[in-house]
Amino acid sequence: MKPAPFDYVVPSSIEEALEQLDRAGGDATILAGGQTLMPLLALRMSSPSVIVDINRIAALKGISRTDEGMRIAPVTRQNEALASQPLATALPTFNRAISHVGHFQTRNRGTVGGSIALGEPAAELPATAVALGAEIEVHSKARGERRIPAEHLYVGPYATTVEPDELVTAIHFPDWPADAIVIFREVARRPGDFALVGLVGAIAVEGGRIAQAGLSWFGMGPTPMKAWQAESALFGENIADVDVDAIADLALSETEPFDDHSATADYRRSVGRRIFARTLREALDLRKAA
Amino acid sequence: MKMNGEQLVAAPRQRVWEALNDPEVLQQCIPGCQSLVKEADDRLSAVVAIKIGPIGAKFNGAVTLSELDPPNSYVISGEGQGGTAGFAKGGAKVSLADAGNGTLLTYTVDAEVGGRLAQVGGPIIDATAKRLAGVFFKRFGEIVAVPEAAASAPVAAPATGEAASPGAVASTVAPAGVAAAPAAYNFAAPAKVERAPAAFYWIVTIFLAALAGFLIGSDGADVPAWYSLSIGLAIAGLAVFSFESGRRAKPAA
Amino acid sequence: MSEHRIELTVNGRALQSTVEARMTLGDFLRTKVGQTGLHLACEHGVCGACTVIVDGLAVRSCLMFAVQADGSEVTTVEGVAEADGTLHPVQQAMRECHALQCGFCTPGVVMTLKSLTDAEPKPEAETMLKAMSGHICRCTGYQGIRKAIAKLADRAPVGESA
Repeated sequence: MKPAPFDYVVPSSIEEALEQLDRAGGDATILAGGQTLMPLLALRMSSPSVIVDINRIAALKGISRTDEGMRIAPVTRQNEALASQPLATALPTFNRAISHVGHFQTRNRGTVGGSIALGEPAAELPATAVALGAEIEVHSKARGERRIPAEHLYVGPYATTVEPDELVTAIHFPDWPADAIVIFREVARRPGDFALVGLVGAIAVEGGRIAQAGLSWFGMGPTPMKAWQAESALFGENIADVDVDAIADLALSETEPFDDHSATADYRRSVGRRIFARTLREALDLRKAA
Repeated sequence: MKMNGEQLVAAPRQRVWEALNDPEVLQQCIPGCQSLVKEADDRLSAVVAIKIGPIGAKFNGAVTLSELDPPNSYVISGEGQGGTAGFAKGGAKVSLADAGNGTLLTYTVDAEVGGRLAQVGGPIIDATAKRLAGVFFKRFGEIVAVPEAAASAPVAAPATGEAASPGAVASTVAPAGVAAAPAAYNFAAPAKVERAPAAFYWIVTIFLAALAGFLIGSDGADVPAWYSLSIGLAIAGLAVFSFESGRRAKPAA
Repeated sequence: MSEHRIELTVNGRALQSTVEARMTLGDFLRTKVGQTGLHLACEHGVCGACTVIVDGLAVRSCLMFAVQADGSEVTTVEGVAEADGTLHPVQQAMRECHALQCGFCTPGVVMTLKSLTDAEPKPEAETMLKAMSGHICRCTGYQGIRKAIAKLADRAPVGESA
C-alpha cells in the first residue's frame, strides 16, 4: 500500500461534506478527481487522517447559466466541460484553455474545481479564472457562504485563501461578449506537460475600441500573474493603434518567473515577452481583418 | 534558501525581545505549530504541521536559540524530521533596533529542505518558505504590538481595493513590514491585549503611520508624500482594527 | 483504518470485495481480481500503462481508489475480445499494423482507443492521436500505433464490409 492509512468518507450531500470538514479540524483532504492528490498520497507527501470523497455529491456537478454568466460546479469533469457547447459558446477562452489541461485520460476524472482549488502556478485553469474575473464560491459549516474573487484566491504555489473547513461549491464566470478575442498561448515541451510559460485571457472590443481586457500569465510566478497594467493600458485603445510591444513590456514587468529544472527565469522572460507580443498582435490582426 | 526582511513592531525593544524568547508567543506565530515546549533556556522542542495545499508534513524537531545578545539579537535555528516527507532545517538571525516608540526587527534567514519534499521543486519551496516566514513575522508583529484603545477609524482598506492596485505596497517586502496583505489572509490577532491610556496610543499610532508613510515614500517609489502617508495611516489603521477584533479562531497553517 | 465493502462489475462479471480505502483500483484489479493485463509503471498518471475503462471512460487505474469504483462497470484488456476469441477492431488493427513490441504499454493503448471507438463508431484520427499523448511507448516509436489509428478512423462501421 502506498498511501498512509486514512479514514475514508463519502458524503452524499454538501451539508454532510461540510460536517466532515468541520469535524476534522483541518486534517481532512478533499478528494475530487484525484489526478493530483493520488500521486501525493502515494508519495506520502500528503497524509491526511480523513479523506472526504466528494464525487458522489450530485449538487457539485454540472454547468449552468445564471444571471451573471456561467456557473461551473466543482466536480464537473474536465472533459465534460470541454465538450459543453454552452460553455464553449459563452467562454471560448475557457474552452481553449481546458483543452490543454493534462491528457484525455486524466481529463475523464480530473475536475474543473480541483484544478482551480489546487493553484498549481503553471496550470491553465487557475490563470483562466484569474484572467476572466471568475469568483469562487465556498461554503463552510461554521461561516456559511462566501465568494472569493479569483485574483485574491492564490497567495503562493498550491496556497489559496480557501480555509481548511471550506468546500468550493461553484465557480462563477462573468459574461464576456460572445465575440471577445480569445488569447491563449502555452509553451510546453510536450502536450500535457505543465506550461513553461503561458498566457490566457480575453479582449472585448466595441466599435473598434477595447472595452475590456482580462489577461493572466501562468508559469511566470508563484501564482497566476494577472497583467493588471497591460489590461489598463489596453482599455479604450483603438485596436488599430495598439502599441503591442509596449503592452508586452508592461505585461512582462508584472511577472516573477522562477529558475527551475524545466527552464530558467531568463528563458521564461524571453519567451514570455515574445509570445505575449506575438499572440496579441496575431489576435488583433485577425480582428482587424474581420 | 536565503532571504531577509524587516518588520516594524509597535512595541518597545525589551518587550519584543521577551516575546522572541517566549515559547507561548513563538508557538502562536510559527505557522502550523502544534506544540512548542521549553526544554532548557536556549532549547525548545517543537511539533509543526505544515500544509501547502494538499501537500503536508509533520515535523518533529528542536529549536535552538543561540548567540544571545539581549535585547539586541539572537539566532533562532530549527531542525525538523518530517518522516518520509523529508527534513527541514534553518536558522534566522534576528536583530532589534529602536525605532521611535517601536522596534525595527530585522531578519536574515537561511534554510534547507531535503528528502521527498525537496522534489516539490526548489522555487516552490522558496516561495512557500518566504510566505511562511512572512506569516510568522506578521503574526509576531500583531501579538507583540502595544494595542490601540480607540474606536479609531479603521481605515481598513478593503482587500479588493488594495490587492487591486498594481505594483504598490502590497507586493514589495516593504520595510514598514505590516505589508497590507489582503484581508483574505484571515489572520487573527491572537491577543495578549493590554489596555493603556487612549491618548498615548493615538500619539504612537500617528507617529508610526507617519514613519511608515515616510519609509514607503522614500523607498525609491515615485509617489507623492500624501499618498504614502495615507497608505501609512491605512496600515496603522489596519493593525489597530485587527487588534481590536480580539482573539479569533486561528487558521490552520 | 478504513475497510470498505464494494460491489462492482469487472469485464461483465459481478464481484464483491472488501478493500482498504487506500488500495488503488489498479492494484485491486491486478491482485484481487487477477486482471494482470493492466500494467503499473509510473503510478502517477503520466505513462498510461494502467489505463482501464470505468463506466465508459478511459481512466488511470493508478489514480483511483478501488472504493471509488463501487457500483461501477470496469473493463480491462482481458474483457475486450469476444468470448470466442474474436479480436475487437482495435486489437485487430493494432495486430495488423505492428502496433506493439514488448506489449507493456499495449493494454493501456487498447483501452484508450476502445473507449473512443465505443463512444463513436468512427472517431476522428485526430481525436485518437491526441488521446495517444497520454501513453508512453518505449518500443515502437508510435508509428505502428499511428497506422492502427488511421485504419480505425477509416474503417467502415461494424456490420459493413471493409
